[in-house]
Amino acid sequence: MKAEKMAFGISYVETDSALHRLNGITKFVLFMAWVTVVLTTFDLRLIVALVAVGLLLLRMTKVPVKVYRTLLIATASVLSLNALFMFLLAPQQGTEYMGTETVLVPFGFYSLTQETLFYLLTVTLKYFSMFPIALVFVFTTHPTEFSASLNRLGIPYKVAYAVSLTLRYLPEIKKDYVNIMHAQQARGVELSKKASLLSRLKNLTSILGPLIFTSLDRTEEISNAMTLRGFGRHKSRTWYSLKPLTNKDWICLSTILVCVSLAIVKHVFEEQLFWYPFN
Amino acid sequence: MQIEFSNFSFQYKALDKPTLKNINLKIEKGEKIVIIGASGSGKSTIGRCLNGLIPHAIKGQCSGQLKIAGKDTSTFEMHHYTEHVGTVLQDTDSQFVGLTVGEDIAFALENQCTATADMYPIVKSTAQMVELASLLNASPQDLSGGQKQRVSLAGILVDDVDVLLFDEPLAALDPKTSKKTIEIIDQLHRDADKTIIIIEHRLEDVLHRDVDRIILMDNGEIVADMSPDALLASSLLTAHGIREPLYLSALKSANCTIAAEHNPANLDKLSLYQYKDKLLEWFHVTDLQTQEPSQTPLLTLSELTYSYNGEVNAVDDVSFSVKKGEFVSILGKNGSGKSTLTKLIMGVVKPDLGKIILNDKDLAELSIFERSQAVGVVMQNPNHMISHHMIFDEIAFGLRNRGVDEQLIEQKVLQVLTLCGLKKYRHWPIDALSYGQKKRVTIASILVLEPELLILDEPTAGQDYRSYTAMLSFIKELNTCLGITVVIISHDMHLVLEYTTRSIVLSDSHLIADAPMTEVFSQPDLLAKANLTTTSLYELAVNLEIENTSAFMQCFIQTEQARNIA
Amino acid sequence: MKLSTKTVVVIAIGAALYGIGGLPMFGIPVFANTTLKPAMAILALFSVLFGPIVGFLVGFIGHWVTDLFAGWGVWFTWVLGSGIVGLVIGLFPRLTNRRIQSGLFEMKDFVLFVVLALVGNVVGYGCSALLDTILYAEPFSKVFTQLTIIASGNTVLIAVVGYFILKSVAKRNQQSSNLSEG
Ligand SMILES: Nc1ncnc2c1ncn2[C@@H]1O[C@H](COP(=O)(O)OP(=O)(O)OP(=O)(O)O)[C@@H](O)[C@H]1O
Ligand SMILES: Nc1ncnc2c1ncn2[C@@H]1O[C@H](COP(=O)(O)OP(=O)(O)OP(=O)(O)O)[C@@H](O)[C@H]1O
Ligand SMILES: [Mg+2]
Ligand SMILES: [Mg+2]
Repeated sequence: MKAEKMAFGISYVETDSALHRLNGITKFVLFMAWVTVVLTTFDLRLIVALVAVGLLLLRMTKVPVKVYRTLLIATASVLSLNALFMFLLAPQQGTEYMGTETVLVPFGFYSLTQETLFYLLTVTLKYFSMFPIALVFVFTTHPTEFSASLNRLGIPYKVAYAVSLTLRYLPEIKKDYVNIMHAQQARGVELSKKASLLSRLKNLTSILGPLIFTSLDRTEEISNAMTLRGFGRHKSRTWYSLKPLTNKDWICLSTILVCVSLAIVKHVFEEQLFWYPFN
Repeated sequence: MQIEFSNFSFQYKALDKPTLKNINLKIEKGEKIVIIGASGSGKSTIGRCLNGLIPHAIKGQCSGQLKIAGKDTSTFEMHHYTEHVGTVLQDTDSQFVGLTVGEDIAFALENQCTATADMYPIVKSTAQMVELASLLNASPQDLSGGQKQRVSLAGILVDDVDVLLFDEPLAALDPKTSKKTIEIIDQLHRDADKTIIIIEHRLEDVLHRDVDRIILMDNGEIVADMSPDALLASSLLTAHGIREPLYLSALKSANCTIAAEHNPANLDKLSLYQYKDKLLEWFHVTDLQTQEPSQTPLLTLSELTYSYNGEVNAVDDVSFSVKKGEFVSILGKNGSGKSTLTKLIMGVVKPDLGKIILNDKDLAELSIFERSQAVGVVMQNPNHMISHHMIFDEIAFGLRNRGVDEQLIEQKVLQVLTLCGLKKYRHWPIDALSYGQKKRVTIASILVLEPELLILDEPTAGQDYRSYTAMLSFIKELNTCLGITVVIISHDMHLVLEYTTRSIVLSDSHLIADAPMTEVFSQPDLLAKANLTTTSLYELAVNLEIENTSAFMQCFIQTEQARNIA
Repeated sequence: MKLSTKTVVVIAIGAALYGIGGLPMFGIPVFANTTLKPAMAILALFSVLFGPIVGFLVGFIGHWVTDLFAGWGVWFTWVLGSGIVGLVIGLFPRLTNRRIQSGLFEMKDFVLFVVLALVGNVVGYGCSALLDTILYAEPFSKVFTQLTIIASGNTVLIAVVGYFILKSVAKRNQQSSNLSEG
């Protein structure tokens, strides 16, 4: 597929799955709930469950795996790298948390203990458990619906709208970038493979300037257009793309609520930070 | 009294001279007026005063008084203006805020807190009115120039305000669509009894439906405020470099005396028999001295196909070739793929199928940069080309990249600035220019490079007669003297007739004709298919039972060129 | 919160620029899930031009967007961090009473700018690091290393890129005043 036809990063994919039909509000709440749970637990069992559910949901979006395979690999490797660094800088972290020390591979300062291994596993998976849900959220929630939901959940509508505009201008700014690049090439700046890397880099900087400034000038024009069409005229506003909540949504929402409160209760009553079966 | 300017002047903060000089203008409720004037004469600035951008968003000094709905605006907040005036901005890019066409149309409704359920029917019906129903889920950026303009039109049709301000609503529309737009506006005027203010260069198209008054502006002052008939009968328009309706120019050059009571504003109402003798006496068949272009093809497109989204083709199996030294035009309805063609030739997008040959070289191997050495393209949208802050730098840019020495650059740049009527702005930043002036900057920036093949995408959109004749006659000169090959994309039938030898007509991404303009004119079904129309000149000839219409139009063109040279 | 339409748009555009600029393809990886983002300069620019509130939201929304679309899941601690960086640098206009709008950008302004950049990064990403030790039980030594690298790296980056951008901003503001024809 050619560059100019490719959507950048990941974005909304229309597959009309069950998840797509859920209301944006529900999905956002789910996302936030998920984050809360992840952040408050160090229980490997729970984390593994989260990862499993997350991946399941990801399958449910009906988005072909090839869309996110590379991402999956990238994230996995980034996280393992992260784990490695954690080990290099603090090989004893695990033992500190678990309170016991069971050396597996004796190697002086860097001797690998079972506790550290367990600790690294838990933390890494903890990070990873955020990955599928984020994808699910982006794949299934149309940007406009997203900001509408934000507003419904009590975020001031101007901030919510700022978010909406941000999403609206992401592709736009990419286009601007491309346009400026082309315009400059068409007037004698060589950016294709044929120029030396150095001169290409130099020329690239000659695009960033214009990009930033066109964007700044843009803000004037856009805000004018918005004011002219009555933005900020009233204390609130309605949203073209806001769907009403269905029974399905209510069911999901209540389930989410229950799960979160359970997780929090659990967190409060745990006497040890990490769940560690081997002592 | 709806709107009243009294001794109103305005000076942009950035400028040292006022742009509007004591304007006195009254507009009654339910009136329909047109504001015309040279590019840069202050039309949009008046608009900005009406919709409150001046003084609220754009800084500068106002003096005198502006009353809207009987209230002095000096006490107004921004929202007071928006409750009264709805605006279609001249620069459609900045008009869009929605992620989808539908959402964008609904924007005004959202801000009025209309219940979501009620929005859908309104949006749908409005979209149908401007023929966008099929594009409701498209993103406004992925539309053609004309489609964009229709979205912004729809965007204010849903708004319930009593004054509607259109800043060059026709600039990018094909002839048929602009007729339709004028009809829509007229309908709003009559049925919803709104006050209508239209800023437009294409006077003849606006007059397709009656208007009450025409305001003629010239650098910041109102030089005429009269009924269309009175104005057209007078010689004011030509005096201020505005294109009269063609049939009138013809009648006048056949020195027929036109009186206001013959209602010249409308060709159908105008009783022609009284001029017939004079016209026939003036009309003489002149031999077309078209110098045969060389037969060596410069640019050849073969089975070119491209699709933006992989679903519908924007350009579908298009093949034609342009000979060295030719002056060719590309015509076609909005969204038919004209600009996409230019993008393909530029190399901004790569064809899915087919190839482009320039000077027997396949362009596929060449980078945008390498192509640009031979091909100069002026894109439809000036915002896509401008990358510098100052006008001079913008135009000098290309030459500097070629390592031309500064003296020469200086002199070349000044030359084209003069030609494009921008000399006095050479030290200005581009954001201080009017839209038409911006467009001219982009044209200048390419002209200065004197490419072998010059492609202009709607060069005359938003330009006044004087400035575009100056530019085009220069381009014609390049074409005849230096043998530069020129391709222009335009919706202006007469212009195409006047300058180009051959027309390529696109319709729904297919090529449907490749013939001299005069031939295209003689095929009504073809015209209809491509949303084109004949010019009023052609109709005039027909009404006068002149068989050799093309000779008639040719005769007119020559008289006019003679006058322009003199 | 009282936001003008202009501010809303500025936030959106800024966040979009910062969001895209933050994507890994533009980043310079230096450490475990730690990249130096040239986009920091954009965040700095918007903060300098439009103050703390814009700065915070540009940083917050922008970083959130980056995380979301990069697809590695949202790391709130660092999202918040970016917000704070913007907030701190956003004090610049208050401290220089908007000299740059009238086309002035002197040495002392630049120094202040760099200082703010440093403080902002230390405080902002300091919070992130701290929160990481709590919420992710990350070893302190590690997050501290991360922090020092990021803070110093970003500061240098912001100083260099920011200098040129701000210079030209000032220049533009000068150029667009009392223009005369002829
Ligand atoms: N934002 C601005 N800042 C400073 N000067 C401006 C600005 N906008 C327009 N001008 C100046 O005011 C004059 C009138 O501009 P305006 O846009 O009203 O012209 P116009 O009649 O609408 O022209 P066009 O038909 O090309 O749109 C121009 O000469 C331009 O230099
Ligand atoms: N950037 C884009 N992304 C996706 N689709 C596009 C894009 N630009 C144009 N299109 C679509 O391609 C088709 C042809 O567009 P193009 O701009 O070539 O039309 P055009 O002939 O120039 O029309 P106009 O006379 O209105 O400028 C249109 O249907 C338009 O919706
Ligand atoms: Mg204008
Ligand atoms: Mg076009």
